[in-house]
Amino acid sequence: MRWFIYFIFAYICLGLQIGLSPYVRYQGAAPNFTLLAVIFIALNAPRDAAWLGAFGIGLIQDLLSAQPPGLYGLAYGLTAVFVYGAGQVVYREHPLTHFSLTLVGGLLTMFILLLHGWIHPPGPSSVEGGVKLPAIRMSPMLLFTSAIYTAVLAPIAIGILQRMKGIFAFRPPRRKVKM
Amino acid sequence: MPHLRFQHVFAGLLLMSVVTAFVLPVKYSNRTHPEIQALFAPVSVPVRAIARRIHDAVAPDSSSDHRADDDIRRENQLLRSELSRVGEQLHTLEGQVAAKKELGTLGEYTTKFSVIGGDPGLRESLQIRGSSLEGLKEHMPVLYTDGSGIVGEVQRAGVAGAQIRLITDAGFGSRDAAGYTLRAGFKRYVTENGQVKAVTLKTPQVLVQGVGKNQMVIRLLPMDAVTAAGLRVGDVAVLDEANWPPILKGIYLGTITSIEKSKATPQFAEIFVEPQKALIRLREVLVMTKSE
Repeated sequence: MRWFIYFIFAYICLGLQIGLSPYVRYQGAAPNFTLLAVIFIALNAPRDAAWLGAFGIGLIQDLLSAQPPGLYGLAYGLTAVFVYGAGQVVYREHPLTHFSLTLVGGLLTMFILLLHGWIHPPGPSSVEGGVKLPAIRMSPMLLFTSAIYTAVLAPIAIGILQRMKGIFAFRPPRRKVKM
Repeated sequence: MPHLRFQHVFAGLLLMSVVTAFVLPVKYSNRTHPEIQALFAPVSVPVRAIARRIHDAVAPDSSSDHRADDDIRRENQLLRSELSRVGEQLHTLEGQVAAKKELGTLGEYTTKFSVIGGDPGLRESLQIRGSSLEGLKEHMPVLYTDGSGIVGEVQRAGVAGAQIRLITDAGFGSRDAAGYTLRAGFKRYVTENGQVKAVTLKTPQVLVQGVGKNQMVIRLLPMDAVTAAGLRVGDVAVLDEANWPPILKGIYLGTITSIEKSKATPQFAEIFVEPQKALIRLREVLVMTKSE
């Protein structure tokens, strides 16, 4: 994989994510463009590059988010492990593959964010004036909507990216062996 | 000798992520958090500008004000007369000086920053084109550009960017480790002798918590107090918090959009409050970089 192209790609995806997400929210849920980039990388790159590339995108997203560092890195790293494994047995160009793998990636990310919110809620439970206030957590419905929203966009976005995968040089060119 | 393979390195990276995300307290993990928001401005700013134009043309933000048309017409009439009076005064103000004067004393303590983008996750935060080199520090209050209300506070600031946590972000206002909270009182705008006046409602100071989706909730006001104060939809929540600079006391937080009995504790009300604008889509903000 050409790492220089990867960095430009990650940079553009994260720039799109922070620039676009406030304007394309549905019921507060924004699509996760970076997850689409992770699925694309994990689906096409060799194993080591796929895992590391996905983890790297997650780590940069962590640096831009209000969440503690490591959360998206972990989620995308695990997603890449799954997608790379599944990528060996599925038809990589099929829109249904893109939809289902993105949905699984979205649900995995949702699960990790929910688990984190359950352990460290953004608004912890407190006692105010003798009354116990419940903790404020991220809404599971919001995360689920975001996962579905992203998965719906996947066939289009990954479909376009699949046509451009040549510039990433995911697989090194085969050498001709002289007999 | 065991061979260190890529799987082991990768497992180590994931383990480190688990530690920083789940084990390490947020105040420590945030310290190791480099701020790189400004680096993404060349992509996010033009994308945001295009998205804003399309959004404003296709699906502009709707108002949270659901009053009857007659009430609005009556208020419009009063505001028109008020506007002509204020308009006379406004003629004396010019350009930047006018804007500064309009902002009042707050202008002396604040610096304007442009917004680069929103949160890449599902939290409610803004990335701004500012840095610690410009004096930005944690917990600095952030206001609308006209100084008319609170937007949030600086969550993190570094050399290459800063992040604002919005008042509507889930959990904002809940008591944090440092004891910071967000408390409010209530005001109602009434018209007397053709002039619009703000009247403070007699309610106890209440805790306001962000719940996401551009909303905040108040859960600690007894239903009796709601009835006694005559609190209703359209009244506004204003800042009444000792931890925030005194100059901001009484500044706008949001407008009440619903008042219901709490399902968990029926003796208390559950009041939803919404800011006048979608905070996640603000283009510029004022940060209170100087203290009084």
